[in-house]
Amino acid sequence: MSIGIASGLLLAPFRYFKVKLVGSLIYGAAEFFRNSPVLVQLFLVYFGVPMFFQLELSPFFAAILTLSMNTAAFSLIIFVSAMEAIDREQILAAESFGLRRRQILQKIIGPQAMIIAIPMLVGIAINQLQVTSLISVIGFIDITKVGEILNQRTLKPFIVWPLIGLTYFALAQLISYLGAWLGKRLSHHLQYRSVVETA
Amino acid sequence: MIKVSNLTKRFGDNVILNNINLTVEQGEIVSILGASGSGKSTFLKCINGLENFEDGKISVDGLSVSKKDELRQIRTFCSTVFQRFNLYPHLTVLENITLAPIEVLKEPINSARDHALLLLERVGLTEFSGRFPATLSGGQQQRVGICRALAMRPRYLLLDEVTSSLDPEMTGEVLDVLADLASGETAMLLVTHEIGFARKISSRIAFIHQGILVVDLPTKQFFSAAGGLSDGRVAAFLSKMELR
Ligand SMILES: Nc1ncnc2c1ncn2[C@@H]1O[C@H](COP(=O)(O)OP(=O)(O)OP(=O)(O)O)[C@@H](O)[C@H]1O
Ligand SMILES: [Mg+2]
Repeated sequence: MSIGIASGLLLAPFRYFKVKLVGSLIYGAAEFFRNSPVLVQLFLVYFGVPMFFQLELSPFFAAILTLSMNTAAFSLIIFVSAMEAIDREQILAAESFGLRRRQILQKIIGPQAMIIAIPMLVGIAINQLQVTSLISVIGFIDITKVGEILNQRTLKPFIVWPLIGLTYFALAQLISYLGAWLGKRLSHHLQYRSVVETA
Repeated sequence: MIKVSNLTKRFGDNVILNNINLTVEQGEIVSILGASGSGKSTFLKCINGLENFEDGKISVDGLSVSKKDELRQIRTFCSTVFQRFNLYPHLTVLENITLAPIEVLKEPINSARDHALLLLERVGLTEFSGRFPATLSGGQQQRVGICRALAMRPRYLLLDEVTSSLDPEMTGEVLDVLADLASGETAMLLVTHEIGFARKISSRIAFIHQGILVVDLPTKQFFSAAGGLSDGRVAAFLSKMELR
């Protein structure tokens, strides 16, 4: 179930890059996903898509789809602002040497924007983790739903709920840890440490 | 040859460059002087397409700056050194220098690296190749900036006040590197406030006043009473610069 968010998060950057070219249309969609409640989006996807496109959606797929798009929308904004935070003059320099836009994105903007974006992405990921508890309403089993079931079976709420809480906590910690690790790997140059022969 | 004819550039309603004509022959060194805000940086930016313009024509070795694929070619042999270095902060000195040769010229990594190390040696920075820009002094960063430009083996070098964000000490070290270069085959078009330096290395000096190129003379004549100094605007500018 948390695979859902993980893949949502992983999809987001890819989506973002493809997405940016399509421009304002995507921005419109992103605004919708950012500004409406996830629950509403979930219902719209789960009940709306089958109605308009005549295809049956499993709760699992509907949940993944909604959360992925939702995450992508937030990530999009993060990436755009991270990219805008990068000093324009070095991009001008790269342009002056004849680098193509794709090369500049890949070699200059991307690596630096990532460093800025990671802490914010971690925030989003942890938030989305909690949002997953909503998907039980369309009948899909997530961590919270597991908690309910366990609770009904065992009738020991004081053991079950702290455990469920701990599970969320552990997952959130894992995400933070991964974020910090990645951020550190990418930001050697910010640590004022000399590295020997790279190229 | 860099050939600028009837260049006019506006920002909104302001005419920043007004009908400018200038040529720089292969191997020539031309300095551009002028007060702050007179349009010098904008002029250099127009030459390698970092700024577009309303009127006129700019060509470099017969290629037009206004045509996209010709501009791309121009950029492979016409390099810029920037006032504020504009190095890539997340890349090492070596990577800063080799990026464009590898990505744009498709030079093999090993040869790009060897060339970079050669250039670094020339500016006295061999042992800094693995460092990040933020760990270098301004003068060192600018010398890296010069190496980055030279790594493209440019026929033309555009230099925009490359020492004006440096302390006097560091200015000296950067000017020495440029003077050394001046004996080579690379043509240079430099904007500078270092009058003495311009006088020493340039074959010609052009003076821009409020977007108009008012004087363009061989260096000796530029500084003679009958030549450049007979223009009141040049005389006023030079005496003001000397006072600083
Ligand atoms: N992006 C811009 N938008 C509007 N006006 C601009 C822009 N860039 C420059 N200008 C204006 O164009 C004029 C020329 O600027 P430019 O930077 O070319 O001057 P300069 O001669 O290089 O001055 P300095 O010696 O201070 O570097 C200035 O009046 C400046 O305000
Ligand atoms: Mg300037």
